[in-house]
Amino acid sequence: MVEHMQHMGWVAVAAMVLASCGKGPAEGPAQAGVLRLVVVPEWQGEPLQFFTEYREHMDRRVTVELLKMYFGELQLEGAGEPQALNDVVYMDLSDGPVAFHWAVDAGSHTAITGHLGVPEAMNYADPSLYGAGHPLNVNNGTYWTWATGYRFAMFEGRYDLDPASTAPLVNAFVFHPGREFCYLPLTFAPSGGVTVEPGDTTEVRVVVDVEKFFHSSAGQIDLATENQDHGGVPALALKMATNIQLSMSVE
Amino acid sequence: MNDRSTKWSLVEPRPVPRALFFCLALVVLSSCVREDKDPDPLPGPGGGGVGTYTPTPYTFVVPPGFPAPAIPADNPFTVEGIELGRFLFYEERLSGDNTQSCASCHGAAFAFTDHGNRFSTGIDGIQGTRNAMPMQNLAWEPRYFWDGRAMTLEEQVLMPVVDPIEMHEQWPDAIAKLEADEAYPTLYARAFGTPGISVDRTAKAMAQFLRTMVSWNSPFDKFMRGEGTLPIDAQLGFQLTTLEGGFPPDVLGGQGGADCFHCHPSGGGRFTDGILRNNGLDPESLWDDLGLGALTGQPQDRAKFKTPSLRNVALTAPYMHDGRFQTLDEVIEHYNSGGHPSPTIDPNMKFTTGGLQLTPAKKAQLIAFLNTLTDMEFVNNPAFQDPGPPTLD
Repeated sequence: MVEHMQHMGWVAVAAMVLASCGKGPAEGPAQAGVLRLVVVPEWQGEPLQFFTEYREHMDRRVTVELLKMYFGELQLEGAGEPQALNDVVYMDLSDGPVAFHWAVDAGSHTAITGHLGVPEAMNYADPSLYGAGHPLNVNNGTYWTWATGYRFAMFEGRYDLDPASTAPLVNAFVFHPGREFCYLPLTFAPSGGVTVEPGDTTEVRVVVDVEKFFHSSAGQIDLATENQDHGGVPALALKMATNIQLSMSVE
Repeated sequence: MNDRSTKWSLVEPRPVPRALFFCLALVVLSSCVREDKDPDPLPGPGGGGVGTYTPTPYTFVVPPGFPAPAIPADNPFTVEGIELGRFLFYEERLSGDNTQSCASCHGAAFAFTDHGNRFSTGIDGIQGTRNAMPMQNLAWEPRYFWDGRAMTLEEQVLMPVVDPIEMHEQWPDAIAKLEADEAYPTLYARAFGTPGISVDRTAKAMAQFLRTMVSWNSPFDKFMRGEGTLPIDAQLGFQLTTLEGGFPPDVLGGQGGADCFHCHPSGGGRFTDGILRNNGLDPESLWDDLGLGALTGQPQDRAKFKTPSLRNVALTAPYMHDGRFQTLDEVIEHYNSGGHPSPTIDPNMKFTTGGLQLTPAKKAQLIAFLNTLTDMEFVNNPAFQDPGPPTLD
């Protein structure tokens, strides 16, 4: 599967390397390693195949055509002060897993934490501030309107309510949760912690089980009546955002 | 209703954003750079100064409300490159029989479209199968052509020259004609610092020129910058574009809007996200142009075409990739109908049953708004008009 190296990650690594080059011997060697976060879209334990028919929890036929997400305010938690990783990262999972890299302090850490979505200050800033290559650049197709900020996740596909049908799927579902109340906390805490050795790369793999987007302990999505959300129905937006939040686990 | 949209005033222009002041500062910086430059250190064709000639940097000004575009590192703007690109855009010798230039099908007066023609006719009298796309704000586009087959502007500009139903020329022959011209060898040397005419340099010069073609001074832009007013029906039309379609309880979250913003977002200034979509023009049984699908061979890409900008749309009839609609009324009626369902119709075309149910008043408001996106300063900009035969003046 294709994994995308995100520019921001490499820029951060390069910046750290350059920064360490500039430090004099009196400051001591930089004890830095690389933290790699991989986000893997799956459907019940198997790699998610876009445009492929699945059955959701109510046995309805569905296909997934688009999956984009933002993580906001990612940081590495440990014994000391948290290390900020990124204000916001963007991922289009349509081509498979997406990876991010950061240069971080070596040592024993406990978790990567953050949020689903875009931090409020950035969410409602002028989108023209974000140039080409920025996660919030409008060319990513995630900006909602001039007034309402960004879609924190974009989940689109098709469905058929008749489990017995073999006809092409033509009914569309579109979920675009966003706005402040969908900015939900995330914690990626591997059971063995996150140990970063100097000069080495430590990987944390987060699985997004897209099947769980349709149901979780927070609620079920009934595609018969709940197949569109663009932020206009807060309860539905929050339910989908919560399902997305709960769909993630650390491998 | 979302809480943010209600903050937008229908009668009061928005305050000038900080970004505008930043951009104005860039304009000032740009003019400073250009004032200090020796206007023409190259003595002329064959002159000995070519080897030491340095092209004049050109500062691309990002308009208020637009993000910084990605400019290829290997093709920075220069004053001389843009000048050369402009000559080449209007150069008929790039066609097989020296009768057609890029501008033949992309006329400035109509936002660089082939005014009134559903399809353009090439030098051999053969018509194409797709409508000539408008050309504006190309620096921000993620890909080019209706089927998105060119990922860079440098790739794009080369293709019509050799297309057998368009300019039908071979690049070696086109280069030979440019080399035989009195002015082009020097113009290329001025643009790139060393002598030599090549396909690569030709593409770069044309791409530089095309990137300067920025539309950002329509009445709508001026209103948003607090520099002018808009008729109330146009303001209401804009608001309709930003609202969800449908009505509760049938459509959860429906706002009775026109639902344009998913594909034509105003944020970022371009009124397009550049994504390729099937907008429901035809049922699957009538697909005769597969668009992106013909390029990729993927079933999920069939009948998908690039989302064009709404800017200057009142000037660019006819509409759609095949120019099937003659008027904006027809376009709005298509979207109001909801379009034809199919396996690849965009999920955001979600009213294939029942349609948007726009009233005649709302349709008129949408038209009023679209008319405010006409940027006459852009189409009449002297910098984009035919410069005449190439000259060293």
